Amino acid sequence: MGIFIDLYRIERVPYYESIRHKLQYSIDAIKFFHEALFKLENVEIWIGAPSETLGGKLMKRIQEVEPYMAGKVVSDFLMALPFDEISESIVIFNGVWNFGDINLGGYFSVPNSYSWRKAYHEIEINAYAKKDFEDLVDALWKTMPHETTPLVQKFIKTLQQTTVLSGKLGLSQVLFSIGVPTVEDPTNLMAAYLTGERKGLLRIFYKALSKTRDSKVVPPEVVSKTKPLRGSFFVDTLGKEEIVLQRLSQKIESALVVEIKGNSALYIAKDRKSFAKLYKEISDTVLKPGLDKLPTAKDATELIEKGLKEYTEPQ
Amino acid sequence: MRKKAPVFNGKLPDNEFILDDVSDIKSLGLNPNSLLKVADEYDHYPNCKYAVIEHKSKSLKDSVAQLEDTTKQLIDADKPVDFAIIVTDRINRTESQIYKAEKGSHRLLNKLNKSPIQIRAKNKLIDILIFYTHQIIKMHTEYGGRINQWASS
Repeated sequence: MGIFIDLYRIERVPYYESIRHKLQYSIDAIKFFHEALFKLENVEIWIGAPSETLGGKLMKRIQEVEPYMAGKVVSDFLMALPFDEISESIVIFNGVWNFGDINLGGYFSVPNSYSWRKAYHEIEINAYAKKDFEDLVDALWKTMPHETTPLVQKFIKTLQQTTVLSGKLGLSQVLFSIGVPTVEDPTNLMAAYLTGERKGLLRIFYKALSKTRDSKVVPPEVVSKTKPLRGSFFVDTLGKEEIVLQRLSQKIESALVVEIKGNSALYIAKDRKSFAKLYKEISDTVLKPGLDKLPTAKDATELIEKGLKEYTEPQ
Repeated sequence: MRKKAPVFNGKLPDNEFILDDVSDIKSLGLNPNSLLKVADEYDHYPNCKYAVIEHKSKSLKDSVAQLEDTTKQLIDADKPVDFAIIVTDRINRTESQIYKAEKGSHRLLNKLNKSPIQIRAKNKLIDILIFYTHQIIKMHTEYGGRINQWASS
């Protein structure tokens, strides 16, 4: 579908200030693509939902084509809104993506509304489907396959600079996905910037395995073993095992372009099937063996019941 | 590959405008430059119903935006629209927090405000319908005989 950015609070920050910092990330992202690939046309500020059809109300349309100025006008407008409106607002920077001889309508969207943010992340960058292109990421990888790796690396670097300047909000993850990224299916990913080095990738794959409903992908008895388990404990345990890190490195190097810096890692697919292949391999060689000896949800329930029955009051 | 249009009353569209095609857009009296959120097709069914169809987009939110923009422009150009249709493989877990399909009627519902998703254009409300690819394949199989019968008559 597009590029999805998630942020985290580095330190306690008032709500209105956090919105300003989030806008700064979106403006820096627009500036990164501006002129060469994206041309800003206008900005819309919606309340409740991002269109009339979805039940939203258009609060303001700003005809501004310069990203910095657009950001400033939006910020001034939002800062004057009462809490119940700003917390339901969705800012959409509309424009046109240009890929050689094809133009795609597109946007940078900043949903402050909880429900929309939960589905479409803190910042969404995308293009509308047209001709052979399903979305922005599809168009990027189809029209400039040899330039995507340096482009993604430079884009992440730009966002990391925003983190340094902001000092309040940090970059939690950036997903480049064909289709909306979903926890149960990481196979549409084309690139991912994740914190927590290798553990970030393990976390994504573990969540997918534990949430899948497709018994052909993961047998139900394996999914059942994740139910009594705290995911973060399992992933942290795996992340400490040398054998796991070795297996991960082997599999990752054959499927992805990787760059690790400090506590974060950027994974870029070599082709459309890279993440699907890697998910299967990591599931087969790390996650499923790690879960193998654990009890299923049914076994855990029986053990709990057995423990309760065996307990006798002290005499 | 282009996805098939839904079957209505045992009939397939008898006239299809492909909205990726500039000549088709111009023949409808629309301006290609102002159609950046464009749907995939504008189809006429033999029972005199017109449908705008989006089947390429991977996001329901974007599909709705594309249908809304295209429908409004068609209606402004005095072209009738009776249905706006999304064809998709499924509603994924993320988007199922917001959208659901109404069983039987195929209407797309907004779970947040608990109402059907409708496009308002010139005081007309147009339902957005959602069809899954497997349902369309089934429709084409079930109605296959009748479609062929109609097509040959």
